Amino acid sequence: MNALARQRRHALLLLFVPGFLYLVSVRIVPAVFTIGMSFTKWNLKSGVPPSFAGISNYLALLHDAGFGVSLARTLIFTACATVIELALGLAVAMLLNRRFPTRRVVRTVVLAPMVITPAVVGMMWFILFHDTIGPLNWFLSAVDLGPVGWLTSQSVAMASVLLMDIWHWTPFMFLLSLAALQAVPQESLEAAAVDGATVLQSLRLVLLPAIADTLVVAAVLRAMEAFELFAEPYVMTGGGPGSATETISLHIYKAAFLFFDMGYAGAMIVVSIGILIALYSISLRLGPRAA
Amino acid sequence: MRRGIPSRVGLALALTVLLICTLFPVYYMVLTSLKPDETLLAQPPAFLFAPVLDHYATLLHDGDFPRYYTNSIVVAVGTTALAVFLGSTMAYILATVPFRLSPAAFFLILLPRTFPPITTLIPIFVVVRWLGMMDKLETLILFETAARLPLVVWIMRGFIRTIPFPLLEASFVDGCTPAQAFFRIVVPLAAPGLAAVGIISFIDTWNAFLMPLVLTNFNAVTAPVGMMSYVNSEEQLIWGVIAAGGVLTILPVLVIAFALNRFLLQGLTAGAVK
Repeated sequence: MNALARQRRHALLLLFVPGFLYLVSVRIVPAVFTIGMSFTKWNLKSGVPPSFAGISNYLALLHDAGFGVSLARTLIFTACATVIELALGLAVAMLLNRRFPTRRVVRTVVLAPMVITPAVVGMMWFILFHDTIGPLNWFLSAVDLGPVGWLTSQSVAMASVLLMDIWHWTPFMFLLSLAALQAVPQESLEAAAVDGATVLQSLRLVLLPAIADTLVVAAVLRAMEAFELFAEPYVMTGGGPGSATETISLHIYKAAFLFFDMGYAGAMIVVSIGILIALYSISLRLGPRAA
Repeated sequence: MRRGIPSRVGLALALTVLLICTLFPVYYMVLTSLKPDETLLAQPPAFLFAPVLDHYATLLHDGDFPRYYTNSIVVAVGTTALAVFLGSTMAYILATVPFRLSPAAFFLILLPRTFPPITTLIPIFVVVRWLGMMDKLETLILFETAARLPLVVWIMRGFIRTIPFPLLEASFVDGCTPAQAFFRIVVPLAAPGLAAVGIISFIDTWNAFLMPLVLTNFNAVTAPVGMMSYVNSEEQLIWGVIAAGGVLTILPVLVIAFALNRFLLQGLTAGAVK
């Protein structure tokens, strides 16, 4: 068996360690570096090397309304997108879990948006929302409801981004809901029907408890990605009008790659991730217990 | 269960609404890409017209789009190959070779999946610039591969664990080294898993935006980022060309998603649920 132990050590060194070190140096080390960077004064444009600045970046953040608003906007967006997409995804999954001809094709088509390139989704919806080349305002005007300043009105623009996100990512929630629904034993549903449960009752008492775990995982994964939203608003509005659609990723991107204020951008990253982690641990602690 | 006619009509209606909502945005982009210039700005928007391929011709003959597109292919294929190979061998070791730090290593591999790309991008940008590696396809592949690895390891570990262990043990007794056992036993048996992670890696890399936006400026620009250079133009008629670029950009991922649907679904659900 000594030979096997030696071979295993070889395999470990040959097949695991290089990839692992590569991953750590390219993903973990930069994240640690970002935390370190947040304690420095460092403007890449100025050519001055970074100098230690203590917590001054963090203190400055406390007075930075732009950062706070952008963070709040992103959190509200994340919550709305996750909840709406989860509800719609579950509804679509229940619909497409029924038996009907062409079910396979319909399922495949309905999933398509989630593989489409985010930058192209942004562009696609820019065209839909556009005043002259887009159809939406023309439809609305035809029924006397329009025109709406989809991407030009400060109060509407973020809702338009949300609408686009719902189109893009409801399929993901549908996919996971469907996988969970298919794992629910048919007998328990039939038993509920025999006992005279209404559709809503069997949903609440039989189906939801059985799929709750998967839905929580789906919601967390979706929320993580929604919080990172970048390409679509970058393409559609560049964060505008004003800063109405500036998500936190876009805000940090501008600080780092337009103004090259690396230390300050680092502090913004650390604070937003910190808040995110806090929110997840709270919601994960409350969520599954409640279900 | 037997259903009445009203219920069937309701189902058909719901399906119609669902399909229209799903397809209309893509349909309208395709429509826009085929409109002749004089119809592009027509009010109300034209739905019936003689389609022309002018915008595709412009895109493919004048300007840099073909180069962006080739870059996208090189980066997506290179990243997929590397990520699938590295990730599945790492998953194989994690699943079959017990070692003391294995749980800690697994945690460190998965951890980066939870931080947003912007978290690590600033140090990466600084180092890449310092090393003179800006605007190179190799650089994109190097960092995109690392971005794909956690998910590949996660999914493949699940797939490899379903391989009966006695099968691997027998191969060791027969004198296979673990590396040989990987190619002779794991690769054939975990082939659906490899297909799934390969497809997901390709789609995610093809769709990547933030990293290529920051790490390229001319030579290594990929299609999704390159399209943006057209958007900044004030010319309204450019939207036909941009829509054509959008159609060509999403074509590979849609074709793959439809053709290899079964593997994709397996991978996507395994990545989230297992």
